[in-house]
This record gives sequence, C-alpha cells and structure tokens, in this order.
Amino acid sequence: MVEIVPLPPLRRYVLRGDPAPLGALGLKVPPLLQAAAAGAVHVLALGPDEWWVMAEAPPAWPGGAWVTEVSAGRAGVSLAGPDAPLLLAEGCPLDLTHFPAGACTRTLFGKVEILLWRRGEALWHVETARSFAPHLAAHLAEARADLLA
Amino acid sequence: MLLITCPWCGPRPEIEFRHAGEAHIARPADPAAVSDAAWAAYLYERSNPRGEHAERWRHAHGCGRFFNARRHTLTDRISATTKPGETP
Repeated sequence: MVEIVPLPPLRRYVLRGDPAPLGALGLKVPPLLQAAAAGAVHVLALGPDEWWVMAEAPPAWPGGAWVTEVSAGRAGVSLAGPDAPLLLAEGCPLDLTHFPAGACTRTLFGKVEILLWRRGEALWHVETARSFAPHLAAHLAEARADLLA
Repeated sequence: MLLITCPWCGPRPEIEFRHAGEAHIARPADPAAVSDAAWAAYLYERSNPRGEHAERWRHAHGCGRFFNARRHTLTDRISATTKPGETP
C-alpha cells in the first residue's frame, strides 16, 4: 500500500558553511544525514557544511544570514504508506532498511538525483530538480502500477 | 554492487560517486618559475600504476565532497578512504 502525492509548494533554502543562522530560527543543528524541526520549519543536514531549510512559509532569517533560496527550482512527490521502501527500491540503490524516520540524503532514483527524506515511519519526501520532476513522477507511477499488479 | 565508504556518509553505492583523478598532485608554488617540461609533467603526467593507487573521488550524488581513496587498479578493491588532508 503506497500513495504518490505531489508535494505542496515549499520554501527551500540552502545554507552553507556556518550553521549559526539555524539557531536564530530555533532549530538545532542536526547530525549529518538527519533532519530536525522547530514547529513547521525543517532543516536537513545533507553535507558536512550544507543544510537545507524547508518550510511552507518563509522563515524569519536573522540579519546577516547568507542563504540561497532554491524553492522554484525543485519539485517532487510524497510517498505515503508502508510499502514506500519497496517502491523506492525500484530505482534507489540505498539499503532503505537502514534508513530510519528522520533520515535524509541525496541519492539517485534511476538516472535522476533525488533528495530523499523519511519524514515519518510511512511518509517519504522525494524531490528533484524541477525539470526532472515529470520523469521522476512517471517512473514512480509506473513502478507503483507494477508493484500492485 | 560495489560499496564505497564516503568518509562522511559511510558505505554508499558506487554509482553515487565520481572518480576525480590521481590524488596528491601538488600545484607548483610559483608557476612562472617552472620550466615548460616540468609544467607539462604537472599537468599531464600521471603514475598509472598496476596495483595500489591513491585517487581522488567525489561523492557527487550525496554530500558532494571530495575525498581520497586507496584503490587497487587490478582488483578494484578500495582499501581506505580518508578526508582530504588526513593520512590513512
């Protein structure tokens, strides 16, 4: 059982180097490849010096924070349901049995680089560059049809 | 599937990585003082060994970081991966 739902519009910001501005948003600096949240604002540690902040509304960045907004360049889907790892296994080479809730990473799905984030036990966030998103959604939809067949 | 251990992310599938040439090639400190032959050697000459090889790799579809790896060019076995500046 797994449903594919388009992501709602999200604001996405990339913060590089110094994580200090996260503190001003009330966010803890998460360990590498994990996410943290403060209310509706989420932060994903995707690299040793790279954090992505995601929220439905623009967060109140402190003065002097250097961030890059990439909202418009990204799109993707949510996967909801216990069979989501099975569906992702169609194109993702990671061992998702070792990918607990709260984990996030960049990886590949088929030929497409994706940002994979397990928001909950049965809720996955999969996003990619906007130009790849139709291909990604079609690939997932086809894989889901095969899974249910 | 070959797993490569990223010094930051841990063991990850090979297809997330890109090879980035031989490691530890130092750029001459004063290029203007270097002879043409020495500069050509710096640019183009590589050791190309049959055996253990120190290489740079990049976790291109992951954390994006460059790191050093020691790979056997015959068996493709990667015996160590280290962050830049570290010695295995």
